[in-house]
Amino acid sequence: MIRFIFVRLITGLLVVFLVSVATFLMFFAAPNDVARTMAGKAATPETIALINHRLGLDQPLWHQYGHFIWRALHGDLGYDYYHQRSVVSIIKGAAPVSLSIAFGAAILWMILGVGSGIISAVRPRSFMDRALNVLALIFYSMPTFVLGSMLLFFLYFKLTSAGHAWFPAAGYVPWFGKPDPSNPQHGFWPWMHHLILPWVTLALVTAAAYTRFTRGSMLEVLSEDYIRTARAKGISERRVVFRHALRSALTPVVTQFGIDLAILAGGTVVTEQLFGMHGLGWNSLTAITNQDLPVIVGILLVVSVFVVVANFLVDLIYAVLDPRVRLY
Amino acid sequence: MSSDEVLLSASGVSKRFNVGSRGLLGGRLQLSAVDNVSLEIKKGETLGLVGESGCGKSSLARCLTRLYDVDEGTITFDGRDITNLGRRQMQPLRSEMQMIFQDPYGSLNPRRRVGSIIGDALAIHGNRGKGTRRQQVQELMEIVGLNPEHYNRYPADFSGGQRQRIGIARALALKPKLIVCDEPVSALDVSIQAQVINLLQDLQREFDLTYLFISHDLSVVQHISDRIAVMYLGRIVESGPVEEVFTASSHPYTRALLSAKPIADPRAAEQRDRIVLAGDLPSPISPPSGCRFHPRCPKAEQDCVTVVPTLEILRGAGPDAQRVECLHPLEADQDLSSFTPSIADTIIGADAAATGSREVAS
Amino acid sequence: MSATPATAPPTAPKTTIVARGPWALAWRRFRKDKVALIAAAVMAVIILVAIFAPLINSALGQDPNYQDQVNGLDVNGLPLGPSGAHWLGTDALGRDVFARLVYGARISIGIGILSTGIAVAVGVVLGLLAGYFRGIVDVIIARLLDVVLALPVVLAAVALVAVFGQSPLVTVLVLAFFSWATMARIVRGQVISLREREFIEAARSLGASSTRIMFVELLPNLVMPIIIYFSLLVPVNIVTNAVLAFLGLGIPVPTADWGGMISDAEAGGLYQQAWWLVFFPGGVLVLTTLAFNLLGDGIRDALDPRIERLLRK
Repeated sequence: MIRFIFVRLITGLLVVFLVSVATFLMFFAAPNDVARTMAGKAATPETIALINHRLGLDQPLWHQYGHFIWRALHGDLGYDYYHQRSVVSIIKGAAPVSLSIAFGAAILWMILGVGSGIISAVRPRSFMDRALNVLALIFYSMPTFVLGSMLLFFLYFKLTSAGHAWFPAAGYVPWFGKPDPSNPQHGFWPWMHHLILPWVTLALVTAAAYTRFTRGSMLEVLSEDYIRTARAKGISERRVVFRHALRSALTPVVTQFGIDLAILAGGTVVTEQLFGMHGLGWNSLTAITNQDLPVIVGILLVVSVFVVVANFLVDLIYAVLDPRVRLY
Repeated sequence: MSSDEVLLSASGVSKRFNVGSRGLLGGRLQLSAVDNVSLEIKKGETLGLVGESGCGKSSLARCLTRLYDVDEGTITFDGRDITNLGRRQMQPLRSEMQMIFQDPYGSLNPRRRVGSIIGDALAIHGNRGKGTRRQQVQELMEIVGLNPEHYNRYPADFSGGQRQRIGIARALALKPKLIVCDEPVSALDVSIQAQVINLLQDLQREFDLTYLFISHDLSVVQHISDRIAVMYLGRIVESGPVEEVFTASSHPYTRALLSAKPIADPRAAEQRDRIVLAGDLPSPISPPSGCRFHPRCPKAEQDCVTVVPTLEILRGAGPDAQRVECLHPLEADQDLSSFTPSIADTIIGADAAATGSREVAS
Repeated sequence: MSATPATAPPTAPKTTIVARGPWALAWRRFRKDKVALIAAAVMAVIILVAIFAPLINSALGQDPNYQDQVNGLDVNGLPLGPSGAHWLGTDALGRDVFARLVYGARISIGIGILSTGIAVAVGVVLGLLAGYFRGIVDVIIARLLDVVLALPVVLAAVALVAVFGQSPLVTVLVLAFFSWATMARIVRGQVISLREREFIEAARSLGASSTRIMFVELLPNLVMPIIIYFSLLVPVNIVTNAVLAFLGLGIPVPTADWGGMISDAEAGGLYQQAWWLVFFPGGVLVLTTLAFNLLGDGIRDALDPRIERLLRK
């Protein structure tokens, strides 16, 4: 077990390292004209060279990378090119937004997805199963931005213009924090109120995959011999499903959940863009369009750390639940 | 029939596998599958190789055909040392030594048509005979008793016996000198076994084939072989012409093995004493010291625990000699069941080598 | 993409019982799957529309890029709703939505299929190499896999497009880059279990080269997972392409693209006045991915009826 953990940890670190190299190379090695953009139209070559020098872009690539990694290890991801804010503070400001979206949606989609998956699997080929299956496929096929646009159009725009302002306009409201003169709202209910539409959008799209996944996994487990034995012993069907089958059927689902949650926590570009929430996804998209390299690389690095850590935890839980995994 | 010319010979061949390691920094665990094996196969003969499952028969076969690299020893095929030939250098020799595999289901690619499976050798080594590849393959199918019209079918459409015929046709395609038959009939029904054995014998006569015939079934080996070699835990413990080994076996293991062979006549079967070997086959990861058979040998003496025996000629000379690897071989008239296992009890009682040696010492 | 070769060989005698290969059996199962057949029909229509887009538009007298500032917009300069002249209305620049949808099919389907094809080819080759050779090759490919799978797809795709510039080729390559990994992982897993089978050893004992073993012995055993994965990956790539377009990093304007059309409509909340600008491209997009997914499910059930067998127990 110790060997297993050790190997996984080393592998995880290696992946983070490779991701950092990959993102760094991708952005810093590619031709970019940050300096030209920043300097404006009338810039002389000298000004551009000066800006490049100030940003460290005139150093050899490996030097830039070494410098970047060295500072990153000390918790410093650099400063953004335009406003000189530290990347760490940008991430700290944006992370609660992304985490709020991801965790709320995750709870919803697990309830919806796993619940409907179990209902489907317990009575395969019933009307319910087929209906859920069709529903799941429709949402599965629906791009997030299409569903989100529809929800905004009908639930916000149409309802509000009909005089029922049940759902708020786009924008994020913090749960905690000091009252802000520009945005006086905060607290649990306003927070939740503003997040309902993003949650529903994200949850419906993701739940669809979980319905299908849970159903398949559950069907497979329910056909195993030990389930037949349990039934033959006269154990009630409810007990068979919830006590005997669910545990092994949900193991792969939970694995997938860990990884999905980590990826979403790293920013949901489309949802954040659609609902005007300035989380990690929105910030990185903005950074990408502005060629704000330190911000892009910083966020991508943090996100990949999320994913690697989630993978590691999932592997660990899996190894505890299923000792066979430890063999490799 | 068989001449005295040797087609394939092995001397001192050993093969070990890495089977993991002890903990994070521990040493490697090695499984000794084949240990210091020497044998010769003469042109045109059938050498039967017998032993329990897990004794290293298949590993030895794969060493001899160089599907595995050997760790020690040399292998000579048709007068040429092939021990260290690379894959490319082996390539032309592949057409001269072929294999027939045990599992008629696993050894045929389920997604390829029978015609292309049999024609594989022709595709790899170039078309050597007359006619198109298809004609040659269909001719082969006819030779092994398959309907040539089934050229385009998939293996799943055939029965176990027919599939084994496909495997035989594939091995025969390049008219090899040696065919290694790795338990070719043990996965088949008894009634089908006879058909396949007869086919193999007919083909041997027709095409001057040499067989290395591996089986754990003594009756089959006795029927088809000219000479046999008995393997135990990676070593050859006895070898010789089939009649001599069957009538005058000298190694206690051979004797025990023979006593377990089913006899068709129930009265005769009742009369003989079956020797039941105590204990299981020891792990090849940590084989017993001295003679590898000593923990289970009823006749074992103290020196068997420490001294490693070598394969010595018992009677005769040359490839046809009867050889045995035992410090205290049985005389032809001695009965193994008359011995009381002295060493055996103590060692079997304790699986761990440490406790075993302590009790021996006491 | 009907990859079902005839199982009855041309030379097979008519008198013998027809031996049904796995393909024939799969085809029989597929034929009975009404939903999958409908999905296939819908898909066929969409693909035909994509292929014959220029013909359809010239027959209707519409040009997807013609900005009709006079008759395509109302007096306030706002887009027109669906009518006899413009079946699905016009967009902010007075372009015909239907004509743009028809052309958009080319981009969406073409990019979806092309990128998936590249991804599957790369994934299969790398998966074969990793699974067959193991050792250092496997370690390198496996780490590469981990890195690609650890990257947040949308974000990284957007970033790549931003770096390499917007063009159809970049989009295709970027989509392929993020989808080969799963294919490679599936193939690798299959190969690892297949390579221990005796028929691989048999091939080796015949003197088959590694290349031959990989492509002649192993590949035919991988056809089913490859087809299944291909059919399930196409809709994913269609959607990712639309997402890129939605985020403003798709195929450069003015080329019609479903995601790009929705993105245009979102800009400035235009769709709140002109619902058809989101509704029709969104609807067509969902219809296409739904058809692909249903078809993919049908193909999977036909080729690998394991779940169905479980149900019958």
